[in-house]
Parts: sequence; structure tokens; C-alpha cells
Amino acid sequence: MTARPRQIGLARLRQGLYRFIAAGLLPPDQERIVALASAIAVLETSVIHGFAFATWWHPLAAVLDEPPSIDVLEADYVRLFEAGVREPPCPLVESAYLPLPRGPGAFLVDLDREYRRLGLAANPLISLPVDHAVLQLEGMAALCAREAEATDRGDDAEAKRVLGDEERFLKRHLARWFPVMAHRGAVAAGDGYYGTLLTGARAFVHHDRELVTTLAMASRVATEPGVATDPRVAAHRGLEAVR
Amino acid sequence: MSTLVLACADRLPGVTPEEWLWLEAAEVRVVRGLCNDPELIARHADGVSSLVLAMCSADFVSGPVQAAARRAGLDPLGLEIVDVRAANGDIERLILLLEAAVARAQCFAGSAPENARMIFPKAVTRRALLKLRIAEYVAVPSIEPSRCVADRGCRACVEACPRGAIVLSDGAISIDPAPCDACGLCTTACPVQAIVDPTVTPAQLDAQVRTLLDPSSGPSGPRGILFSCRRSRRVETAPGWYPVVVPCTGMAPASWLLAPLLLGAAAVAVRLCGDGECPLGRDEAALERVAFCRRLLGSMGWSQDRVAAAPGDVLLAPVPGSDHADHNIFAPGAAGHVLHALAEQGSDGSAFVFEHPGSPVGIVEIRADACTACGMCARTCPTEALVVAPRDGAVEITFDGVRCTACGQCVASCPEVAHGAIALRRVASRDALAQGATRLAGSDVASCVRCGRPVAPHAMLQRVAGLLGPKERRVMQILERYCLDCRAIGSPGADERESPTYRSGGEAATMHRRDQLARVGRIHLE
Repeated sequence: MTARPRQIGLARLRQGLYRFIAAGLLPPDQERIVALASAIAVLETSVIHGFAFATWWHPLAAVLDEPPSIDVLEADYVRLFEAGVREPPCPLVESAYLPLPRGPGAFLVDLDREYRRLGLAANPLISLPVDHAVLQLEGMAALCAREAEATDRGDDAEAKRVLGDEERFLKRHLARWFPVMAHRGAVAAGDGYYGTLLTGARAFVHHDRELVTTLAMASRVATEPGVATDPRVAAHRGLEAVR
Repeated sequence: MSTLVLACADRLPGVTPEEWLWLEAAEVRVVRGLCNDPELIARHADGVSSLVLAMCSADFVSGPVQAAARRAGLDPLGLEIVDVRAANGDIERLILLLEAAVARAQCFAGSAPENARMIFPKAVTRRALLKLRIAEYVAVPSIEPSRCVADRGCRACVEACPRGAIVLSDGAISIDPAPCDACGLCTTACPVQAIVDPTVTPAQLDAQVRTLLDPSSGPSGPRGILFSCRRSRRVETAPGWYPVVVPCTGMAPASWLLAPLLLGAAAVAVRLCGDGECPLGRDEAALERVAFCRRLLGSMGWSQDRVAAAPGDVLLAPVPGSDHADHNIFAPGAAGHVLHALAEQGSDGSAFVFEHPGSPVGIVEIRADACTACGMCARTCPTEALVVAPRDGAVEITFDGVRCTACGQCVASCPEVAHGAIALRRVASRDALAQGATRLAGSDVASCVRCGRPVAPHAMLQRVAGLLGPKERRVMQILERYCLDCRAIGSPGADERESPTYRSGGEAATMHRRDQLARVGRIHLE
């Protein structure tokens, strides 16, 4: 397989995983859980094992082999993510995790502007806050799809630009808070569906940030003078000696 | 759940390896063509809890092996791989190497997502990256925030990282994985094990080294422990020497080089990367520590050759009475205990005191006339070598040399360091290690004239008085006489003339300025 189909395959795989996690974090629904169980069965036979985050997807696959009842999932969902008498341990919104010096309103406006800059807009039929994890995960999935399409039609410049967008969005938003939330949630949730989903999701988002940063850096090495002396490049070369 | 050893049959010594390869702690399966077909790993290892691979060489591509381990439900960072060539055709040696690898694998406590770092081709281009068939990963350290004492002022890891990959922001330590080259220096610099490389924990090293030195197993004769870099491609076959792989030999503190001697090793060596061409440039650090160990051993009356920068040809008899087994001697805070235990076993019992940059222990000195007994040094000390404690109306700072890791955090945190209040010397001293906690400094404590609670050490109040000068005598009186609570919320009472909050009208004009100064004093005293 040459580089181009592999790049398309990688972008599509990442798109699918982002969508999988987003669906898993929506309020529980019987049909969706069945769909997720069949999706992870397919993933288990895919190239996913080539990536480090797969280590943390096995437990989720085991849980989804015999998914818990919707009643149990609903109770867990409310306990973990929804506001109740007490603050939930891991609300699914970015604004709960980051310092907001200008207040939550300004933050949400900035985020909405960021989506628009990326050419994305939330479906008005979906009543989720603009900084909700599901929207951010779907946003990343859309960018991955765009990268795959650009590569497929041979538009390398566009693919590189989209990769830069992915890097920026991960660094500024999703990868900044999602792993913190997922770690906190996994601790609170234990070994059940949400615990394993959040652990797998944390591993994937962390891995994706690393991967996208490196791919974007590699794109720049060829075109921008000085990048080749970046300490990150030096570190990669040091690590190469491990092999 | 069990441990499995999968051995590639292609280069195993002996004619019937299946019969010879029997281990007490693990099941062994000998598989033909394992090195060329990693998918065999997934087939055989499904359901096991830990896995050791005995491969024909270290030249296999690790990506497919890691992927196969994941397919079997294993964490690939917990895989232990033994290069069969290291056995040099000796089946007993091979069994010992495998048993030690099994012991190390069984102590693997799992990794976190942050511990897996993808490694890339030398040409960092997107096309080269995307041509990678299967990604390869190497372990990098991660932070365990619940153990970290950065909030107490510790910056040991930040100072140790040669790449600037560890940063402090908002009072918390974080690792930027991009510049990190996985050398592991931060893991041994951290005095509280808050930075963890899950593939090289003290428990794993302890298990592996103890097994390698277990006289009931393996070839007879004295044994040497050889710390070698995981970047090295060299196969260690010197008779009597057994390799222990670490991320970088520059990370191994002097206490690691000495600890095996307590467990029965005849000698310890460090294999520098590629004949002095360490890709990370850490050979000097390793050599400095070797030099310290040699000088220490000489001071103790042992042969200096027990620690060397390369495995020697002749192994001496083990250190007599080497059964120091109670302590976790590879833990970061154990350096003093290791040195102390070795000194206790020293052949001539002579005292030693010498300063060396490679020393893993140190001596803290406090100048009584400059110290204000504020206790910042003790609050920052991550190993509690320095302790501040009240005693009979006074406060006392004590120092226990056996706990000191020479991290230098006490010096960095001292507000009076400019006046020479505190100094750390990298000194190895038998007396300092043996004498336990001793008093370094102290001061009587002023008591609140109203409630009787302690206000602050007199030494500190004198220092504040010196800073404020004679013009602020009234403010100093308040600072000296009242505790924080009485100073801030005191109400007129029996001793209302003493109360800082009770003022005649004529004094009101000066209140604002004094309040400001009192707040300055409060901040300092807190």
C-alpha cells in the first residue's frame, strides 16, 4: 500500500473513532448501544491494534460483548455527567475544566467563532452546549473526513491545511480538557461501560494529539526552513535510536 | 492468569530445548519462526497476564510484535524481551536470564496512555511517516499527580530534564511529550516516585536483579550486574555478567550501581552507549557516578573494581554478608540506606567523608546567624530529611543524612539563601549517614500576649525588624506581640490598650499605612 491510500485510511479510521466516542457519550439508547457493540467488533479485527491506544479499547470491547441494561446506563450517565443535587464528577463540557478569565459567555462565543472559522456549525436541532464533548468530537470527525477527501482527490495543500486545523483544534480545545475529564470520569465510573469508554477515549485523544502534531510537523519540515532543527525533530531522532 | 515465555526455536542452544527450558514461575512454549511471524504471539499469548519473548536477536521490527501483543490483550510496554544470543549457547545462563525477565514482567504494574510514545523514521517527513506499516512505541515517563510535591516547592524533575520537556505551570508539573527523549533522568531525579516510567520501576529492577543474583539458579560462580542502555544493540555475553536494561545508562543513580552489591553481586558495570557515543550525550553523567562509586568503595575498604564503566574480565567474590533484603533499595529515597548498609559491611570499618558531584546523598548545612527558622527548607524537602518541629517553646530544624537525596530543593526554597543561610554539599559521610536526625538550627518562638499562641520565631522577627528599620518600631511591636488571629480580628478586652485594633482618634491617620505593613508582616510570617 502506498502512502496516499494509507493516509486516507488513517484519516477515515480516526474519523470513525471520533464518531464512535461521540456516540458513546450521548445519553444512552438501546439501538445505539447495539450499534456500538457491532462497531467495536469490527474495530477489533481492524488495524487498530497497530496503535498504542488499542491497549485501552479491549476492556470496552469486553463490556460491549454483554452490554449492561439501559436502566443501569442511564443511572450512570446522570451520576457521572449530568447536574443533580451535587456537581457531577465529570461534566462533559469544556468550560468546566479550564480557567475562564473572561467568563463562560465570552468563552462560548470564541468557541463558536472557532467552529465557524473551521467551516463547521452545530446542528440547530441538537440541544447541546457548544463546548460539549460530543460536538467537539464530531467536529474533529468532520475535519478528519475533510482531510481524507482532500487526500483522495489529490489536493495535498488542502489536506495539509486541514491537518493544521486539526492540530490547532486539538491543542486549543479537545486535547486540553478531554483527557482530564475522561481520567476523572473513569476513576468515578469504575470498570463498567462508561469507565472503559472514557479510558479508551482518553487514550485515543492523547494519541491523536501526538500523531497529528507529528504529522503536521512533518508537513512543515519540508517547506519551512528551521523546522528541521526543532527540538522535537531532534527528540524523534533520539528516540529512533531505540529501535 | 499466568506468565508465558515464548521462545523462538530457531537459534536456541541445545538439541531438545523443549525439555531443557523449564521455569518455575512461568509456562514455556518453544515456537519455530517466532521472530519472523509475530502473529504467533497473538495466537499463543491470548489470555496470559504477562509475556516474555526469547528472540533470536534484537533486530526484529518491534511494531508488529507490539501490535500482536495488543491483539492478545496485553500491554506491549510490559513485554520483556530476551535476546537468546546473550546466553552464548549456555542453557543454564539462558534459563537465568528468562527467570529474571519473568520476575521483571510480573512486576509490571500497567501503563497509562501518556506512557506510549510513537517513534518515527529518521526522515521526519509526512510521506515517510505514512509509509510506516505499523507504528512502534517506546515508553516515556508520566506524572502521578497524587505523589508530586511540586506544591511544596520541589522542582527536581524540571531541573533534571536535559530537554526542557518538564514544565511547571499553575503550581503543577506536566511533561511535554514532544521534546522528551525518554532518557528517564526525571524518574530517578524525582525523590518521591511521582514520575514513573512503567517499564523501569524500582520494583521491577529489584525483582530482576534479585533473581539474577539468586545462587539457587543459573551457572555457578560470582555474578556481575551490567546496566545497559535500551538503545544499545550490543549483545552482552561476557561470562558471569548479566544485563539489566534501562532507558539510558545516564539515568542510573550511584545508588543503583551500589545496590546489587548488597544483594550478592560480585561487581556492577555500566555499559556506555556505543563506545562513548551516547545519542543523548549522557555518558558523562554515567561516568561521574561510576567515579563516585569507585571512590566510595575505596574509602570503605572494598576493591574499586566492583563498580566499573565496562564489565571486567575477572569477577571477585561477592561482598560478604550481602543479604540486605528488607529495603526497596532501588527506590529514589533509598540512596542513603544503600550507602549506609554498604558502609556497615565495609571490610575495615573506616570512616569516610568526601565531596563528589556524583554523590546521591548530601549534607545540608545551616548557618545559625543567617537562618530565620522559617522552616521553608523542611516544608520543601521531599524526603523529610529536613524536619521543622516545635520543641519546648522553640522551633527546631533537624537533618537526617540517610534520607537526603541531594536534590537541592531546600536551597532553592530558602528565602535567606542570599545571606548564606543554607548550603548543600554533595558529601558522602559515614557519620552523617549513621547518626540519625541532628539539630541544625532553631529559635525561641514569641508568644501572643493576648491568647498565648505562638507568633513567630524570634530569629524571623529580628530579620523582619531589620527589614522594616527603626522607623517602624510600632509595627514591629504589633508583629512581635500578637498572633495572626489577634492581629487581624482582635477586639477590645481586658488588655485593650494592647489591642492593635483599638485606637484613639489621634492615631487613626497612621492606621492605613500600618495596616499595610502589618499585612506585609502577615504574609511573611505565614
